[in-house]
Amino acid sequence: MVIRMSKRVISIFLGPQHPGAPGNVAFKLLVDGERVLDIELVPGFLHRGFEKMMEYRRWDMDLVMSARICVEDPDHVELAFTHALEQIYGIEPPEKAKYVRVVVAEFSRLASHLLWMMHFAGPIAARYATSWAIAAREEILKWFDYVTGHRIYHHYIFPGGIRWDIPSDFKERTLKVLKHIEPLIRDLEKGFFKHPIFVKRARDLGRLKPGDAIRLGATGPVLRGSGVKHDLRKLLKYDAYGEIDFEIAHGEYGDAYDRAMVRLKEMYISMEIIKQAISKMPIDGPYRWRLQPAIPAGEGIGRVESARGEFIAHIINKPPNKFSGPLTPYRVKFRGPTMAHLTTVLKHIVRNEEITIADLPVLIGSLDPCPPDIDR
Amino acid sequence: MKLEVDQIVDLDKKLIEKLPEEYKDKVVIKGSGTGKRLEIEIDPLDLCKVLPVVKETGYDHFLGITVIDHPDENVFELVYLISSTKRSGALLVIRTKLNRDNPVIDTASFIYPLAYYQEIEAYEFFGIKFNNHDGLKLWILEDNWRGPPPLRKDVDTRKIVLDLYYGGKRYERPVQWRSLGGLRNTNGDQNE
Repeated sequence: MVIRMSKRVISIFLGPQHPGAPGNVAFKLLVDGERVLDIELVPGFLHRGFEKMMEYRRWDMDLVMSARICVEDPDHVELAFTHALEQIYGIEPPEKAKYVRVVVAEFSRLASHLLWMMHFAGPIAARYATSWAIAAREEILKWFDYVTGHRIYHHYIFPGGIRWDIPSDFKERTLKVLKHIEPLIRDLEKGFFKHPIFVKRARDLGRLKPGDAIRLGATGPVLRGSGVKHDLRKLLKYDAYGEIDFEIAHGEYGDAYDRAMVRLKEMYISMEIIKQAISKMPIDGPYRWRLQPAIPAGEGIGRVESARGEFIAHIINKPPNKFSGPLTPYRVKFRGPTMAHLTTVLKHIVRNEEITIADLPVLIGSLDPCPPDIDR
Repeated sequence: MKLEVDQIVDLDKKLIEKLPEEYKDKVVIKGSGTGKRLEIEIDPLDLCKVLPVVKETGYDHFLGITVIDHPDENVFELVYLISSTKRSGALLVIRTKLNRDNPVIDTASFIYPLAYYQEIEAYEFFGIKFNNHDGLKLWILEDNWRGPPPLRKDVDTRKIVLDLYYGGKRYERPVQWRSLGGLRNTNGDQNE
């Protein structure tokens, strides 16, 4: 649909079925020739009403549903939900489960960053990078299939610990996967991230200053790409992250290239974290505490650093009344990182820089959006 | 973990100094694990008095608004989640209660830009109106949604769906009680 505002300025739609659009969202653009003057997000193509559905279902069903909120990075949503529920129950997971959660969460981050290459390298016409990344991700999905029994949605992190005990050859199998994907990621670094065409395309595009990034509510690699060292894994030290020594990847200039490089560095850091977690993990001991089925009254806020940024699950439970049973939570709210990136951050960049329509897929790709967590 | 608590308590003092008189003794520490937080409960009319103070003291990173519907008390509870990048990610929670019959509150979007979009969400799912907000509309829901705000507790979305798409009738799969120790859900008779 094209709306003519004046002789030169017109309003057009990008998405949701446009190949350059990042998933299930549309954008309304105000363009003057090639240049984009303003951008407005049109969400809601994937609204499934999860928050209301969860009020009708038991908490173990809700956990299974929560993974569907972000398809690409499901384990962090489960982790946030689990943290919130564990705060209401007032329990700490067993030591072994904490380490396994770290390994699962970091593999989820790796898989998500590798899938992001598809959205990012595709529009730059670097199809080879897409195929290499998907080849590396396939190994991680096979690992998930072996450990958790599922490839995409795992439901492995469970309130009270982890759902099943780990297989006997967990360590060897995990190290084998890392050994397989590490050269593939090194290839990607040489063939894509250091490639002159990519550097020219992404340098100086969509610069975000650190003050603006904080003010506009950016989180995760977008915030760290601007040079703010803010990582909840390091700050809150949830699960076993306190026992693991790692650095925070960050950029300096805050452009699309820095944000991409932060994700590349995070892939190496994730592999390092997995190696450390595996060497420090206790082999014996319980893996899950059994919880009573009825949820106690209370409130829990689970905050985790997902692949895209800060993910929050806010669960409120009241004593059973007319509106809520003993097994169902009273209210569940999820806060995903994508809403800030596609509304305030994207609008700020488009209004303050000369962005053309051809730049948009690269710019939006560098923000790594996951539209389902806006709609929920 | 101990370090974290110390930082929050230290923060307490700076924040309390600048808060308006009536809220100085109402700041409490709550929660555990990643949900450890400072909480203040305020009057809805004082929102624009408290938020600038909070932003000045270093809580610069707005995360979101959670709305909780309490039909039995006839209130909507608004929970503002704000973290701090300067104070190692500490979380501050501001709670306020609105009358359910006429829920109106000032917008926070001039102080925290992200609140603009979180408020649109609160408007379409709960019907809360925000003063000085110029973009309240159906955003995530479809434009042609004519029903009540769907996340309110007294709205039965299952009934709306059954009436709209299945003519009021649909076969419900029997629930397996075994998996949760045979405990039944007393939430109406939806699952029977």
